[in-house]
Amino acid sequence: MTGQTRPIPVTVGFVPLIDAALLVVAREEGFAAMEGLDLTLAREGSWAAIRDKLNVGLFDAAHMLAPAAIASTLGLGHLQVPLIAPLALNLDGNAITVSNLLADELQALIQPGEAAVSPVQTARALASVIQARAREGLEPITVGVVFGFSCHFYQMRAWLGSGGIDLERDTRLVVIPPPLMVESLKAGLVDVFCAGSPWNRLAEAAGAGKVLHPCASFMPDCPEKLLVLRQDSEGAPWLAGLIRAIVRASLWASEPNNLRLLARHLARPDYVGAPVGVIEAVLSGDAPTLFNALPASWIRLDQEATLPAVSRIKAVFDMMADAGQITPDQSLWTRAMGIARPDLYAKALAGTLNRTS
Amino acid sequence: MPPAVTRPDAVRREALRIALVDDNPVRAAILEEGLREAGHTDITRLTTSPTLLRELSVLDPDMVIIDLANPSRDSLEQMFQISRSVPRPVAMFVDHSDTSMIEAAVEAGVSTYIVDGLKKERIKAILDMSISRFNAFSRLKAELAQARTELDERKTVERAKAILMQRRSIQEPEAYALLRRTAMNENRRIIDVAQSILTAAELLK
Repeated sequence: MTGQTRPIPVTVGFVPLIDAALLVVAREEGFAAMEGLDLTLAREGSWAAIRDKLNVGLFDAAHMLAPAAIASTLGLGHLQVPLIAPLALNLDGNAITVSNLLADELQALIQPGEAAVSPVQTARALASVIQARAREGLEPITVGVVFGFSCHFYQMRAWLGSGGIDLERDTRLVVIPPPLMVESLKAGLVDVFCAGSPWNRLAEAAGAGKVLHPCASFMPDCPEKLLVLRQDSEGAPWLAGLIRAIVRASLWASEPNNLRLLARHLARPDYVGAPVGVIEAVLSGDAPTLFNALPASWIRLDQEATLPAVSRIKAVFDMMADAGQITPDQSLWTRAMGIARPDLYAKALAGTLNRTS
Repeated sequence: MPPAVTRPDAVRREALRIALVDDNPVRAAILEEGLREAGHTDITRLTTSPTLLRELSVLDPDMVIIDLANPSRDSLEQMFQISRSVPRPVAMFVDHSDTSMIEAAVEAGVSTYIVDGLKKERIKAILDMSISRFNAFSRLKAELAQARTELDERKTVERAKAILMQRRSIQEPEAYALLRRTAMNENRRIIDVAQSILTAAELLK
């Protein structure tokens, strides 16, 4: 396919999370090379750094939170960098983790029966904990999130809300970078947090807390990370090849036989840098949670999950508006919906997958 | 957009209060020195920790200078907009400098947040200084790495010479001449020939 031509260099920024998996597979399993691309994956510690490097052209494309892509496009509160998403990198993958102390308090209130305990039950139990603390004149519980323009934040609001808890009124909110979340949970600076994988399982492995619910158990098929590029990169010569490579990566990653190898790729220090066992537990989705409320899957990396559907961007926009981060007006809505580019996805895939897979 | 909270008291403050967040103490020291030379005296150095945002709130700086790769940047930016319930004692905004300035800052690896209402010229001077000091630090690091490589190479050549002198019972100048001749004949670098001698000697031990 590449013939004698030199591979096209493409640099994609990512944050070390399990949902960067398809980028890692596209490179490590040779799907990018098959498309004539020399794919470099650049590890970054923050979404702010990803946005800045994408903005000045140090990155051609990036792994990004769907709400952050909307915030960047609309210039909410920070630098405005209009983006497009010709592909999604996953659905789901987030979870809620509680401190050991809070886990004990919830367990005292909930008797696990035959059936799994639902997220509404745990949220109601948490509401009782909050009320009891208020009666005793204790501090309210502290809720930790890693980023505001994130599904983690909306999922935390939704879960608390299902038990009658108002995040803003009844809890104290802190924003802490993921690498410090485990330490914060241990030190009692945070009682409950919501973050992407592998941070929940890592906190548990460190003995700092217990995984309560994968968010897919109460908000399934949540658009999590997108592949984003600057609007002016739409015509880049590498784009169609990169889309095809990532879709092929999703077919590969959906094959159960490849799970172990996928976990080993991701465990490398230059990718996620977490123990293989922790990553496998997330990918397979069969590790226990506090009340064993298991969803069908923790994280979706299948081909359907890679569709850059307008309906998914709309769902994210609605959650942002509901959280008061966006004033929903027509022009903002139109600009946000323009991020999803299923047309570029369809064009890149036209006929190809049938021919080669 | 968070509401533009102006702080007349802070804007009136004579000396600019600068918070420097960098986990690299050497780089932070280099920048602090530059800022002090430029006449800024109210500088506080902070590092990544779970209580960083609280420390910044208490400090209430006019400007935050932070290394671009610092994982706390997300929290810092979010502090102002995540929720209406989070108090915003520090009304900081991403610095909207001109494009070339932004590019230079990103390439140097530094980012800044400023309080609303700060004069553009004051920011520009500080940002210029930060960029040049960050770049100076990178050069210093590259030079150190280069010096270390050169030192290692010299040691390798010395050891290869010693092996030749011992095995062939020759003097040091001859050993060096032999190395050089071999390198020229095989179109390799002296260091590469020396390295193969060490490898061979190790294998034949």
